Amino acid sequence: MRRKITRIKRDIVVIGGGPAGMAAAIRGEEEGAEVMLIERDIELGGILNQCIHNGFGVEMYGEELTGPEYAERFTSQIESSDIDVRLNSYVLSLSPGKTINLLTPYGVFEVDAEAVVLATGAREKSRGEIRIPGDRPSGVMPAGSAQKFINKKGFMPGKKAFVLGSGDIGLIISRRLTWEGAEVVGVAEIMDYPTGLNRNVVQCLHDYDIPLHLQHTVTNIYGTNRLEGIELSRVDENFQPIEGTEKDIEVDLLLLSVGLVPENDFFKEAGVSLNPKTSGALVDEWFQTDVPGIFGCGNAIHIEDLVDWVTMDGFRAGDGAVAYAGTGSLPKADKKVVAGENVNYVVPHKVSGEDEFRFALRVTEPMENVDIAIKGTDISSFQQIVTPGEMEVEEVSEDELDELTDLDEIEVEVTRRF
Amino acid sequence: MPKKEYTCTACPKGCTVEVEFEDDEIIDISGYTCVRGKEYVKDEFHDPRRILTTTVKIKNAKYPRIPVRTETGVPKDKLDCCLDALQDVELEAPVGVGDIVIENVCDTEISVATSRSLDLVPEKDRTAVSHT
Repeated sequence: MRRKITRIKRDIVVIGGGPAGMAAAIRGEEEGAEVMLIERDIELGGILNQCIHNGFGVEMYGEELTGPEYAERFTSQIESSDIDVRLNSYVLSLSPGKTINLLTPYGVFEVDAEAVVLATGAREKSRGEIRIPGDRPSGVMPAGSAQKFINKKGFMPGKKAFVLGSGDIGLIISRRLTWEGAEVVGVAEIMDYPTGLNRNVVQCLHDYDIPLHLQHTVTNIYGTNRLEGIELSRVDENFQPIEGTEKDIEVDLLLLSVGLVPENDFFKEAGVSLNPKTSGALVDEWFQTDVPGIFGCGNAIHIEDLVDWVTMDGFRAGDGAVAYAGTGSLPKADKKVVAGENVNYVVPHKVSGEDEFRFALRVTEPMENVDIAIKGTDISSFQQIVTPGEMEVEEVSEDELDELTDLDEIEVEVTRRF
Repeated sequence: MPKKEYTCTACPKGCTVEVEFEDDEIIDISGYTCVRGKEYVKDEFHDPRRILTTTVKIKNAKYPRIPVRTETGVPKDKLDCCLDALQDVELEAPVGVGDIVIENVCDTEISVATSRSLDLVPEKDRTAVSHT
């Protein structure tokens, strides 16, 4: 006999229990919606739980919290709420009509949602994605995996390490390994500047005399079972290895900190359009995608620097989902937002122009004394220094909306002042 | 006169700031491009401090380790002492967030506290044992 699959109805279903999803769920419930929050791990908090270093919450709370402390402010609020939290639970499919097939320890459910918020975060790029040639021994892994091994499992993944990529994860794991007694022999960065925060370069590398090799990359990997060494090469201005600059380095651990890619499978499945620059979904000011009622926030949309922005975006997506679940619509966002001069990408992709909003952008190269502006308006803000490694966030207030009335397209540009 | 070079962390620019000094006294500061840079190297020269974030062992929780932090920055040259002091600490679940692990660690007058809570869980819910 076939058993019937239990059907559940919820106003809002949030997929992913990291900072973005927790914020969306909290806001949804506060506004009176029936919210289900789905998380595949054994607890809420996402990547925050393994980011045990401090620096979280400066924008939200004016404090420098560790990742777990930041997470606990939200998990404890969720525990005392009516949010229907499903841990150890996995979404098998999401239809454009917002029906979710959900696998849980208590069986399979079909969940019908009025609005869905995808807060699925991002994945680290792996060795295959950056095509490092050579042997395939153990001891080569993304930096975040090593962080999880060390900080949550108490397991050291190696004794002598090399880190490829100078993003913040790569810098922070270098200090972490050092504190746990491993030797970090160097960090390589293909660009001619470190991509992580300057503070992390100083406090994670300089403090421990760990050399940073700019314009270098790993060009070979050696080892039969366990990693035995790597080959480091200098690169030219087209990022191609320069022959004759190869140097072998003996290590038993190679950590990759070479970028994150939004986890976008469910967006694709639901027929949502993606931004080729970010690989995340195209969204409007409410973080609604081009499939009505499907929202997205956090690293699933674009890779953010600060969890504080992730939380604020999650709240906003929660607001949008509540409005949509209530009335079935939101103000029509028909003004396109485009990346102009010196802007690599900007989020959101569309706005209605009827409500205040925040936009986030990354510049194409490091610059000094610039104006971040909306072309053809007086909306502008001066910045002494901008780099691709640091996201810029600007607000368009209610008073400034008038200036957008006659624009069909909102072009965000960054121009040098002198 | 001896010199020391610092990279300022007050903003992404990362100015290289040079300090000329005699004994413990700063004689001259150069290379900074704003007042924050000057303040930064004064602190770094006289009393560099860092917040230490690491883990200690814990029994009877879902994970074998729990993250801890110093409540504020400890002198940079005491980081090794603090790490050694935490090496053999073993907590027992349940613990709350902000529970004191060591008071006045390495005579810094600063405490080390947990940075999350962990519940007591039955044995079947405890994940792999840590390396010690």
